[in-house]
Amino acid sequence: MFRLYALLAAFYLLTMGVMVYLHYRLAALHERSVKVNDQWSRHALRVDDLALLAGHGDALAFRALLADIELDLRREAPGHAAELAPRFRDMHQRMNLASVIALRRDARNIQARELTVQSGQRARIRHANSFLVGLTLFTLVGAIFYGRRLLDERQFVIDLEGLNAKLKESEDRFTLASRATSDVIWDWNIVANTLELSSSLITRYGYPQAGKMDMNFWYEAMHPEDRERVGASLHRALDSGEDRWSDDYRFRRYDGSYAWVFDRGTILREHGKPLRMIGAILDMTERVEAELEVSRLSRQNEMILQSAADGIFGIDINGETIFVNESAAAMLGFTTDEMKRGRMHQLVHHSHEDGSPYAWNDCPAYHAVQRGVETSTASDTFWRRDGTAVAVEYSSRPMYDDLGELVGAVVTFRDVSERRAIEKMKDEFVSIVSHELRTPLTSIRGALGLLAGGRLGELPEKAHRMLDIAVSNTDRLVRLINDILDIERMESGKITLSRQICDTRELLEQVADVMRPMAERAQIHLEVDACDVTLYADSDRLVQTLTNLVSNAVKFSGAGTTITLSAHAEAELVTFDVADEGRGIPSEKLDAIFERFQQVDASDSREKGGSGLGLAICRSIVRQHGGEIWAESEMGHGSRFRFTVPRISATAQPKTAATPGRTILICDDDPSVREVMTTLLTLKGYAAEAFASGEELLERADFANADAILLDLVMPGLNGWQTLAALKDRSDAASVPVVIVSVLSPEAVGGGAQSAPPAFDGWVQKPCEERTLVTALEHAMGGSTPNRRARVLLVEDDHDLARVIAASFDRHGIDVVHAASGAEAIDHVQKSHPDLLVLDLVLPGIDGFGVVDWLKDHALLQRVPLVVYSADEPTPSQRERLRLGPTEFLTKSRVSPDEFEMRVVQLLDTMTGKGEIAHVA
Amino acid sequence: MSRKRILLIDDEDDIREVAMLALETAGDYDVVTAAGGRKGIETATKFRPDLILLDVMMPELDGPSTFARLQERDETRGIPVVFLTAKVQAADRRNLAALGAAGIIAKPFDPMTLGDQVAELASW
Repeated sequence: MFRLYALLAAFYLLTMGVMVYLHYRLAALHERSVKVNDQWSRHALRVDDLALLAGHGDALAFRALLADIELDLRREAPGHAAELAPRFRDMHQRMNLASVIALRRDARNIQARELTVQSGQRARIRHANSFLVGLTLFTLVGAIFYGRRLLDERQFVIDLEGLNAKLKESEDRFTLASRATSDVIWDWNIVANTLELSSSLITRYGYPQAGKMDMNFWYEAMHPEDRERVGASLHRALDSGEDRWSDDYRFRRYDGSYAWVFDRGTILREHGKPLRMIGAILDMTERVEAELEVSRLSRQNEMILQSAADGIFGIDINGETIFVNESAAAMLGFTTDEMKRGRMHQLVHHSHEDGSPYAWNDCPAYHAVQRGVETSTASDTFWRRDGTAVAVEYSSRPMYDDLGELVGAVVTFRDVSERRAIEKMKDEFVSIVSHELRTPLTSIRGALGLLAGGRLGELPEKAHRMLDIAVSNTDRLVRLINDILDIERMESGKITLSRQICDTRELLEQVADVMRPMAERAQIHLEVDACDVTLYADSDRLVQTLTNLVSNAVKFSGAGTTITLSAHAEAELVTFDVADEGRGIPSEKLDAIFERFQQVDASDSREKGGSGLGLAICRSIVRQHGGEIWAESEMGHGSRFRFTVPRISATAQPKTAATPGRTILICDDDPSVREVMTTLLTLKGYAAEAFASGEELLERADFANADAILLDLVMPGLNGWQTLAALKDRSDAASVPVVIVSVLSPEAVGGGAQSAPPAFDGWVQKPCEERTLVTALEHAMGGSTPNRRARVLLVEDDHDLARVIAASFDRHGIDVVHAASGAEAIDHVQKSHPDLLVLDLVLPGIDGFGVVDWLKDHALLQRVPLVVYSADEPTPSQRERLRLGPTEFLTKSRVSPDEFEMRVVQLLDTMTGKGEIAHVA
Repeated sequence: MSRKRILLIDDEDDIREVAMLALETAGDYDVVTAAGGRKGIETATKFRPDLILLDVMMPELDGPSTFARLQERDETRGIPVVFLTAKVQAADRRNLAALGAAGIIAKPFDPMTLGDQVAELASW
């Protein structure tokens, strides 16, 4: 047993010894295989370096490295070195990539072979071991020890499998990723120098195929100008040990065009050596082109801004200047840099034309930046750097950001001083020409008329015919000149409308009456379809417009047709309508016909005898009324000319604040008259209260606070006279002045009355002009002040002369208030409401013209009687401008002081009409 | 009924001649002319016409000024004055009417009806 034990023990010992030996042998083999693997990996990397050097064409470094590798190889694996020797020889002679790749392939083969050999040895040892294990089942330690090895091995295999799975997974992901994105995913095996590109290369860049490619493909697809730069950046990234690289360049599409791309990749390294790179080429073309477009547009905008002839500047919501163009700077004598500092308003718009400060809050640009209102200003003043003024017109447009937020305004302006001067010259020219043309025409027309009329003896028929031609063409020429002047003056704003209350039906009937003879001659029926609406308009001008339209309609309509004149009221406006059944107007001419000298057919002006200005004049008139005119037509089915005139609304804001507290009572049974009068008086600054009948007035009115009554005569129920009588019987109403407003004339009534009518304080005949109404009202109210001395405001800067005049007026019982300047005059005239104004023209500051202009703008003062007492005789145009109420022109040198005195007293007499002024002989 | 006497004041020779011919051939008018405002006032004072036809635009003394002078003189104050004018705008007409003239005849006038127009305005 001991023997057996001893034997067994010996056997155990031997077995254990063998097993220990085998174990170490296995360990050594494993170690060796790891070492070989490492060696070959190192060689492989160095071979990759060779490939790079070959790629770069660096022959010297290539050979040095090659020699180094060969040396190492000989030392470490002499057998294999011999095997590879021919390859090395070949490479020493030719530095080419193919050989490097072949070398790498050979090296790999050797490495694989080596590993296979080792693997076989290890297998055999394991087999021997297994055999021993079978014999030494009891050797726990041995078994465990051996088992652990086995487990380790198994683990290693499992690891490898896991790695492979991971790789597979990652490749799957790569495929998936590359399918999911339109970017080109690439995988560059640096060692093998192969490139794999995803299928987006096909879909995005139009190449026929993707997948494995030569690395050269990438270089060649790059724009030649970008190759050097991008190649350098890639190698820098590879050499400097970074694990990321990116750059942008132009990538050639298959069709030869280039895409802007952003390329980025991750560098996979082993022991610092780059082995592989995976990345993606992102197509940035759209973004880059958008950016290029933005910069192109920005350059273009800058160019437009700087080359614009108009001055342009931008401000933010605080009024700070953001940008300014050259023209703006040049026009105002600044440099653009100077203009960009601070607020533009402070710099160039600080004062009004008269030098008074211009508040930023009042500036149109302020409204643009604060309220987003687009404004345009036809006439204003900007100030140059040197302090001189520039007449400008400008527009301010609000500026919004992408989110629609108001961020500022752009102001565009131009210097209009030259245009103003030219306009003035043109006006003068037109005025002179009109006179110069009409004068000879008067002689021609007169002479021809006398001949054609047979006053100077009978003429042969042919001569007669010729004279008729001459007369009718002279008439046409006169019409033409009149029309040209008319439209010139209208469009230059020289003609102001003389608005009064008028009725649409009356207007249309007036037009129909005028035009009927012409229509009848052409066998055309004229029809009126009107509504009764009260308008506040220039009736003469509206009649002129309608007459013109009807006259056109008659000219272009055939016999037997009908022309319909109508008016329709809407809430805000009245539309007038002249419809015919004539030949119609082609649609492309519908707008053009309102331009000067535009006719549908060039021959029309000759045939129809028009001046070619009629419709342009119509348009001008309608626009001055705040309306619009247009034509509608269907060829062959007649035309329809329509225009609108806004109705006045009672809610209109008062234009001027006149003397407060003056309350006027209106008594009229016609609601439209009540409405219009209320509006009118409100506009003029009065407070107005309307009553529909005499009964209502007597019952409801507050006479204690009334300053005057406007009374209609013809009313149902109590008529005007009865109402007036009742008023005069009441203690609270008797003293309130009454102005009769009636279609009747005072003469017509006064003559036929059975008994003397009660006393009234004024009479205005309907339809009336606003001026007449206001004058009568003011007169009535002024007259109610009992027995006051007349008051004259004397505007004269010569104090000696003023004293003389004041003394002489005093003898006539006239109070004189003296003002030595225009400003003083305006001040006094508001305080003292003079009965008459004596005005010198040459004054310090605001001159006489300025005073009159100011007075014209103020309702209660625009009819003040005026005596212009000037050193020089005013020209006719100056006279026109100076005319206020009743106006007298007296020239100092021509009129004796006595005469002057007499004229003023006479004028006062006629004005006050009450004979209250005491005359002292 | 005596022949009506008309004084025509106009600076244009041709117009004076044509207008004179028109009035004389139209009916019973004695026509005297003056080439300017001052001369016209002088003639009016001496000749005492029944009506004055007065041009508006004249050098030196224009129509309105002449009219004002005529109104200042006792001898001429009562003579109706009709303006002859190339200004036919409504505003011009209103301004002239405001001066207190008997009427306005637009230039160019129709010579065949000039006489009738004058008679109508003067209420003869």
